[in-house]
Amino acid sequence: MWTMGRKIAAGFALSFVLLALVGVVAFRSVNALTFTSYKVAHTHEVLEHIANLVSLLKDAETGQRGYVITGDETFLEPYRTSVVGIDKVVKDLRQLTADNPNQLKRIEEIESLIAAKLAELKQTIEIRRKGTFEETAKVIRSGEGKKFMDDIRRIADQMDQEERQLLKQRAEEVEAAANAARSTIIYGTLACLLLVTAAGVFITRSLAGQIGMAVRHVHSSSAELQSVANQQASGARESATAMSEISTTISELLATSRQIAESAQRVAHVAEETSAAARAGTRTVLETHESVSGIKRQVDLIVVHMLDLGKKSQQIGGILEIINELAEQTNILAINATIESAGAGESGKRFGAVADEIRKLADRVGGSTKEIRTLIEEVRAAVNATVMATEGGTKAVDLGARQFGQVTDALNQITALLGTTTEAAREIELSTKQQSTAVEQVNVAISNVAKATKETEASSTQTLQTATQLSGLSRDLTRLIQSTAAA
Amino acid sequence: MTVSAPVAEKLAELRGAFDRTFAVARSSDVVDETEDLLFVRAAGDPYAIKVRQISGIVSGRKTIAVPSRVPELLGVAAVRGGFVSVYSLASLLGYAPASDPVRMLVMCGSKEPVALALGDFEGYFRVSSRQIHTGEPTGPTRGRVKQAVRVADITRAVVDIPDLMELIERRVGAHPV
Repeated sequence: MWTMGRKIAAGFALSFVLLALVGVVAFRSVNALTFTSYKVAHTHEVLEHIANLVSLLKDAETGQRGYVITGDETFLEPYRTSVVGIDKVVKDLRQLTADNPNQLKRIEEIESLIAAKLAELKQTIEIRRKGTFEETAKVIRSGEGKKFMDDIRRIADQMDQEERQLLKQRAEEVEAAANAARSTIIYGTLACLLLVTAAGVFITRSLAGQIGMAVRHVHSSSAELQSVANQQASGARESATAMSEISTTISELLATSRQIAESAQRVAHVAEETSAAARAGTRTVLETHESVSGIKRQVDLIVVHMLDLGKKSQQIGGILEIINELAEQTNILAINATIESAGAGESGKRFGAVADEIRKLADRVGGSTKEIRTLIEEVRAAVNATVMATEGGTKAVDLGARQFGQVTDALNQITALLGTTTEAAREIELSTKQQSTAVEQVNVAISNVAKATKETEASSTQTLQTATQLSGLSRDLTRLIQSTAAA
Repeated sequence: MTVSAPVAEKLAELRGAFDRTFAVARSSDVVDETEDLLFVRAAGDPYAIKVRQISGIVSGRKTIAVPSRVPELLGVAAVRGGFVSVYSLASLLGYAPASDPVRMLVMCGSKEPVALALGDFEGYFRVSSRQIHTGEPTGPTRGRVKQAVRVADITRAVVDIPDLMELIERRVGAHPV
């Protein structure tokens, strides 16, 4: 899209070109007209010279005739004047028609005829001077002089006609050139006027449209700028508030960072103490592991003894079975003895009493063996329970030993991790101190930013005022353009 | 080797009881009539056998089965240098045959001794005659027992051995080997 300056320049350039064209055409027409006028004047001069030449010849002939008739030398005055002037006129004619070969050819022809005529005139004059009128009239009557004069007049007429033809032609050329110049000037001026008017209208409308659009854009932009300035001012105020809050928060953060640094220092100290405690715990666990291994050995020994006790109780049970069997056999024997003693009559009663007592003893022994069996069963159950419990204890001890190993590994890992924790806590302490320094710098920067935000707020207010003024200016410009367009 | 106190006490009690038997003078007049009984179990039920009706008891004897049409006859066993027929007390009392393992044999009869196989022997007891009651107990032993004794809250049928011997003789007479 063309800019306004370009459109204006284009309009002026077009007008300039048209004016220049009209000027050039007019100049050329005037030149042509002038040149043609010169030529017309030249033609008139040629015609004048031709007429003058014929007139001079007539004067010469008139002087010759007067002298011939009168014999008075005074009548030769026109002759003499013409003879002198004819050469100059012919010479002038030659110069004037130097650009016309036909005329030059005729001048050559007429020049010889003039020479012949002048010679005839001179001859007749000489004849008259020496002779008589009759002798001269006789020569004149021969008609040679008249023939020369007729030829001269004929050629002069031809030259006159050609010059008149040229005059007519040049007059037409002058008329044409004048018409062309007139047309060019009129139409060119009209075209120029129309073009300038159209260009003016177009440029005006274009300018009105573009400037109106630009003004509307300016108005819209100024409104947006106003809104943005409002928002910017509001944002700057909020930013200032936020900066203040951030500054407060950063101050709290700074205090927190210092607390963190102190905490990290305490953590490092505690981690070192914990590491020492973990190492002590590792030693304790190793010692406990040794003790547990001793317990395991003792428990294994207890299991062996308990198994031996179980075997012994089994052996006791076997022996008790034998005793029980003996008691039963004794009981049976005693019962049989009792039966036998009952069959032996009075003498067998004492034996029966003994057998009865033996049976009672056997019963009691049987009862005792049952009690002992019960006790042995209880002992065996206790031994089994003890063995089971001991095996469970052994497993628990094994599990404890493994767990102690795991605890040792865990404590070693804890020790290593505590070393890492100590280093990390120190790094945290160092980093937190650096962070505190950075936060202080940030605090300073935030203060600067707060100042800049206040300045921004002031600038935003100023921008708002400028935008408001710009909006007013754009409205004025709009009204101006609308009034211009309406006009 | 030391002996624990309860065992020592029991040992002393046994020794004292045994010594008292010989230390106390034998009384000739018995104030109270007594009855010696063997407490046994047949097919799990408690029974009592009068000691004066048997000739002895043996244990640990192997019973060799012999073919017989008498279902109560379990076989023969070697007792005191001879063979005796072994009958199931439970079968004779009317229980299903071979219901109890043979643990002890009760010798009966004088001319033709036979042995009654017992499933379980609980002991030798001397009871007062007044504890033995005459009656008709119920159960499979009906007709085989006529008395009952109650000891330690357990009522036991008292097997009548002579009646069982007659039963065996009738069975053997009806089905000779």
